Amino acid sequence: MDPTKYLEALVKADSKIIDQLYDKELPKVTRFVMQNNGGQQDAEDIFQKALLQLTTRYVAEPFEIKSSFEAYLFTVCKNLWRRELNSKKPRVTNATHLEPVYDPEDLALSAMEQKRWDLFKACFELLSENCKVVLQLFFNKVSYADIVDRLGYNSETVARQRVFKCKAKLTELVKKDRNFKALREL
Amino acid sequence: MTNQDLIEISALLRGELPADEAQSLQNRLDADPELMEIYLLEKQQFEALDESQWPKATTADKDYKKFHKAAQSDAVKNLHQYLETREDTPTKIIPLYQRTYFKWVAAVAVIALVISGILLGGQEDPQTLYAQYLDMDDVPTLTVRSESDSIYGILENQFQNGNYREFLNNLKEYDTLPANASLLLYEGLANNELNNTPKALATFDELIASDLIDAPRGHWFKALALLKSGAVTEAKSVLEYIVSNELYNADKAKELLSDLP
Repeated sequence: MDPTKYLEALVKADSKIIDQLYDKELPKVTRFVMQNNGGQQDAEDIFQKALLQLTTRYVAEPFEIKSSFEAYLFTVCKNLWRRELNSKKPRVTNATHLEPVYDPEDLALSAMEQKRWDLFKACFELLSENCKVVLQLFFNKVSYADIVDRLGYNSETVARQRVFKCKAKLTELVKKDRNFKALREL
Repeated sequence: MTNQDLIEISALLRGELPADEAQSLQNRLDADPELMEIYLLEKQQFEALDESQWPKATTADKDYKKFHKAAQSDAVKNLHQYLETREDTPTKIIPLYQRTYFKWVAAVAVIALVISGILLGGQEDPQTLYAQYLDMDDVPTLTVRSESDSIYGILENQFQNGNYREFLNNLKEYDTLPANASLLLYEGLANNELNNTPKALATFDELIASDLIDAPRGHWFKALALLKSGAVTEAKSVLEYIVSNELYNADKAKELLSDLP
């Protein structure tokens, strides 16, 4: 099914489509969260937040999903879990004291963050394979000495030059993107 | 703005700039809006592409009002109301690892995500793909409703509750049970969840070699077991076999192949 149809179904709170998503996609998200040290309640919260976030974003400004909806939903869930792990606020997940899933401020922020992540990720994917590898190491704070070792460069100077060029290319791609204008004033 | 500025900004974001130089750069950022804009863009790139971080937005951001209004729209409220009142309870899956103190867990998980991100250059890592593609609906049930108290019911209950060691120990006790594809799948999956890949693969091979109706499912689960163990090349070979012979889950196998590096 066309990904936009799913988004429209969420806007209409179409129970049939939503139930299908729960049946087919929640188990995958549950397994991912559990394998990354979360629990079932975390997975269910994340899944619900993902559906609300997608709806919020689509209402704010209709957008296009270029992969399958299911794959994108899984990515959104993964990112929400990553966001949760990066949050300094500990989650409270016992049955009597659940963190609220519907929080308009947090939903708005997470939708904006996902939009921003989409932009950088899309531009990153346009880079050459070599640039992707170099920058992945660079952004994950691997030392230049290790980058030299892993990628077989002659010296750290060569590695630094390569990083510099790849990063310049990434910045150029980001700036060219039509969605970047909205980010400039963030 | 010079190349040196860009180098210093990168060094600052990687935590490599000495304190005095960091302060000097901070002063220049505060005084130069153009340089600050470049710094913010670089920072956002780091946050988005460093797996241990996340690009945070704030209520002061330009689009916030629009998104906040959307979050309070009837569409979102109605969806939330429906989600809260759904009668369906998702299938219970017992965690493989027990949840412990949040900060410790978060630290370990972030490190794992970082490592997988670094090693695979942005591709989904095999573990993630395994989690994404393993669907317990693909495993036929061992029992019918009237058999819930039978040995099959007990075994199924142990498996579904994640008591894999108990399940395997019990299975040994009942080694005279007739050949059953579901039982072999459960046995393979239980070994796989316990990271006993050789036994898991041997069990799936036994299923594949059998004349049971569900034997072709063994290829799919064998591919997933290989994927979980990190044997990506071997997993791809099995997936290609599934696709070319149009075996069980051929469509999923094709999709999974396209997700693999």
